[in-house]
Amino acid sequence: MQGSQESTGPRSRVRRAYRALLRLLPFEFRAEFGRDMEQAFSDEREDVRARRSRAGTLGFWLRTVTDFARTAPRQQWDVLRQDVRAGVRLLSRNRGFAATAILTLALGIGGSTSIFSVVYAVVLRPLAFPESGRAVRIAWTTKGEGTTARLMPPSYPDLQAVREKCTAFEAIGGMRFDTLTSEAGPLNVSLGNGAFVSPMMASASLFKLFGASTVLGRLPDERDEQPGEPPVVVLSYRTWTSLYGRDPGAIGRTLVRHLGDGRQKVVTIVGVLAPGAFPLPLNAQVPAWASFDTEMTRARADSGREFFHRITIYARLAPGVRLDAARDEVAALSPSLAFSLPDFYRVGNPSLQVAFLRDEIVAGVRAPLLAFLWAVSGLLLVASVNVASLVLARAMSRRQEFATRFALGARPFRVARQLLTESAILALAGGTLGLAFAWAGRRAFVAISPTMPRLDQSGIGAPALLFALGGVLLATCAAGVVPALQASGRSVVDGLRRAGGASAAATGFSKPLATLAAAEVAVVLVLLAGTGLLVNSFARLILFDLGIDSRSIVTFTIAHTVQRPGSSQPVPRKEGQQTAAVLSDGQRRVSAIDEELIRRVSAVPGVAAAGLTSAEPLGGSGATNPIEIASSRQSAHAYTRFASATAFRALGMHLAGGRGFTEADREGMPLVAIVNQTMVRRFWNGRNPVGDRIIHGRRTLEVVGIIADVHERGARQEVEPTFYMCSAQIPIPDWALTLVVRAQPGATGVGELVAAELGQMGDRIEAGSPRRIEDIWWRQLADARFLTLVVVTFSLLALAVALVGVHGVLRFSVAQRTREMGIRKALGATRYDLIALIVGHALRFGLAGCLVGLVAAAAAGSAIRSLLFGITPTDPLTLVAATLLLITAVIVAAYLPARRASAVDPALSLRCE
Amino acid sequence: MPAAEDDPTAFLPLSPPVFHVMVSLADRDRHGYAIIKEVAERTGGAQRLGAGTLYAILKRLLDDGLIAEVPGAHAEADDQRRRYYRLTPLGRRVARVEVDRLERAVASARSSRLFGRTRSA
Repeated sequence: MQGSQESTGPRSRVRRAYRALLRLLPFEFRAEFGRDMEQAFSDEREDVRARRSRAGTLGFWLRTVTDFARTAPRQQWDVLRQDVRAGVRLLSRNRGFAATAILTLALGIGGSTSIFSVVYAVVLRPLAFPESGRAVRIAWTTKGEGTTARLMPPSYPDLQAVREKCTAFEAIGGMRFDTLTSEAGPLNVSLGNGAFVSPMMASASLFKLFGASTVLGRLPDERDEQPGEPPVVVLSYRTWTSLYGRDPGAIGRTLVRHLGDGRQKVVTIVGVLAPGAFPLPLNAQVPAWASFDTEMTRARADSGREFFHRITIYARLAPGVRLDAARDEVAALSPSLAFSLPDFYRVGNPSLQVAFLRDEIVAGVRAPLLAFLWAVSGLLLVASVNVASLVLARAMSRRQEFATRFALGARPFRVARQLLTESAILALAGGTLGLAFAWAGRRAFVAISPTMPRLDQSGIGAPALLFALGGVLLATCAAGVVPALQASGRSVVDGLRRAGGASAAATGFSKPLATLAAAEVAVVLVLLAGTGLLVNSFARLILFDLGIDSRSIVTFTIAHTVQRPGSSQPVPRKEGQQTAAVLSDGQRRVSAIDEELIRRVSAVPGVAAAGLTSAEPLGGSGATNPIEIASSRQSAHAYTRFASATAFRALGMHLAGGRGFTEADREGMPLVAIVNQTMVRRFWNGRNPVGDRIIHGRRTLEVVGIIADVHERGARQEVEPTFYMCSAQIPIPDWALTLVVRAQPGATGVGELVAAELGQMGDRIEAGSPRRIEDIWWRQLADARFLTLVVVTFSLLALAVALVGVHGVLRFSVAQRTREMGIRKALGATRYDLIALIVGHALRFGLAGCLVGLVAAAAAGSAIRSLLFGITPTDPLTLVAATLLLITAVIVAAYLPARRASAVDPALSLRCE
Repeated sequence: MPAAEDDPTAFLPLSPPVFHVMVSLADRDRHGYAIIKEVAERTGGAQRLGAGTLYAILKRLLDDGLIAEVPGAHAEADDQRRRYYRLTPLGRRVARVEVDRLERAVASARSSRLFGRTRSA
């Protein structure tokens, strides 16, 4: 029967198929019963064939397959259970080893999982509204000469043009700030410190785009935007609660919008938004959303009174449209729209840009979060390598056991599987404990982190659990595979010989162990070097002098609402160059308002100084303008700023030469300018520029002073050549006008008082929300502080974990060489010799690891370049310091086992094996 | 389970396939496929053991010492390479105790009203 089966093709195919099924069974089972099963299978098959029933044959095969589906998992599970039971037994006999391994893995898995949960929430998770992956923002960017790209919100005509001419978007809408008051006063949401969020007016399409819904009433729709339709508004849930006590009767009541010039519009409440209806962090706090007042916005745009920086455009890409296609389409419109931009921006080669909303929201936090992820991955790696070396060390001390098992017929694969199971048990236990760490770690992270968008929505959910599971798998493989390979690669004869002659094992340190220890050292050095760079950067940031005194400064964006000449009604031109200040009637009126504004605000109790400027400190806006230096006829580009006579004092800026602006610098007097130090260095080669002239368009300005450099865009940005013009001579353009108020030391509530005073000025001006410069500055610092804190924590953890590993490896090596130590001592070696021997060994793999680590650190450093400040990624001092720290730590870790080894009694040690 | 080694009740109850395999070895030693056929015959085709299921059962019975492999060639062996199994004395006792248990269960069921007339109308 057997012979006939082998002779024909189909039968041998059937047998091969059955053997494939047999492979589903555990090796031992297969080895024991495989042949018998095959025999039983072919016997039964013969019987079935004899019956010559097709249905019978089919049923037979079906039974066979089902049989395996039932049997194989159970048999595999039995073997796994045996392995696990053996593993747990073994680990519980070596509690110290198990605890060390589990704890280090828990640190690695817990740390990386907690950071992952944050990275997932902030960077990876979709925004919480429908089709958010296709949501984009459209804004102008300028690329001025020698400057970085700057974003600038578009105007209403831009919105109209994109809406009418672009096919890439299925929904598009704009929003801008609104001034609404109830009987209780302005409908602003206070953020403390005098800062507040104003109501907004938004296109009906925006409500749809963000999936907003109401708990009461309706949302504004397209009809409400039609000319002549009465404007309507929906309240945020919070406003409804605070202002109307959740009274459904709020629907139908009215708010008032001030239009300037004493005119008002009544806006009717038609609905209440559901809590969290606007998921974007920036918009979540807006107190009320009105229907978009197309009429008013268009009228302002036509009269040149629409402030260019006040519309935010959101859109959703049509299905299947790629971002690049939308970019091309929108960019094609840019040339026809750019004419409406202020001169200031036009030189910067502006174009309308489309960017994914998600990218924009997380742009600033992506780099630090990814740095965190690197740091914790390093920790996880070190923990895994650590456990690998611990498992390997133990595997080597179990050589006799393995050799015996091999001799009794165990397959290397079986032993390797046992080792992998042990690693998996360790990793699972570590992962479970790690999840507890991750939970606590995430809470700590949220508690100490500065404002980071979407962080509040983080949690240990399914993605984080999956990540932790990945960590467990990685740790299992990393920790189990090397020892398993070691075990399975060892032949029986080799193993027996080693087990028999103990001296063979005692002739030197284990190479695989030393390699693993060196790898740990290398990874830790990369982490330490990165940490050193960040700590160094942070120290430099804290000590950095911005050039202004940012304490107690509050700024307001100001807009004039009186009729003033727009770009269509230029100042009457005079022939030739203009060297003295000339104002139009409109400008004179504006100038008078500005003077009154400064006077009134300066008189507010608690205000030390108040002034007007065109650039918010640390706000960083603007592009360069072409100028010419009169004395050298040199053409150049420089930033243009405006300042009132009092602005420098309000900002705490220092004169470095010449004089500041005075009351005397006014209409009819010579046009004057003050230049910054960078401009002096760049354009006058450091010579005194006072008395020289700057030709700026049709104006010629005399340089009267030098102002100390100000890092307007924060410490990380270079100072650009900048000159200031006097706002009394050339009124500040409305789109840039900023009121700067310095509070007296200890004064409180100045922001609110000034806001109230500005309200007193009636309808001639509109004021935006107050902002504290200090807050902006501290927020920049807080980011760096947080980043540094987290990275330092993880690096020190990794260092500690690695030292535990190095210590464990050395202790093991020393224990293996007790006999050798005894012989050496018997032959006259001193304690010092023995300590030097072991510490020397540690130093060898420590230095090897450092060498590899230094190369890796230099490569990795450029990845965190954007996070550094005032230091290069390959800063030699930092790298040397990190290396020294690490080497010292390795020596300390080696000293303890070395001292113990050096204390052996030669007589005892020779007997010990 | 050292304490249970001599106590046949420790192995009860037996699952139907295990029980049938043990019963099939009661009258003579059999090899794997013979057991499959015998069980199918005894149960009128209701219990058709697959090879995987059978050998998983045999492995457990061997481990528990309820059956043993028969050494050497068998008188009726049609193939020297087949392995034959035999009930051990312990296995025989276990099977008997299981039969007793089943009988008691059946008797108890019969004395109940399961097959009698029900009280309700």
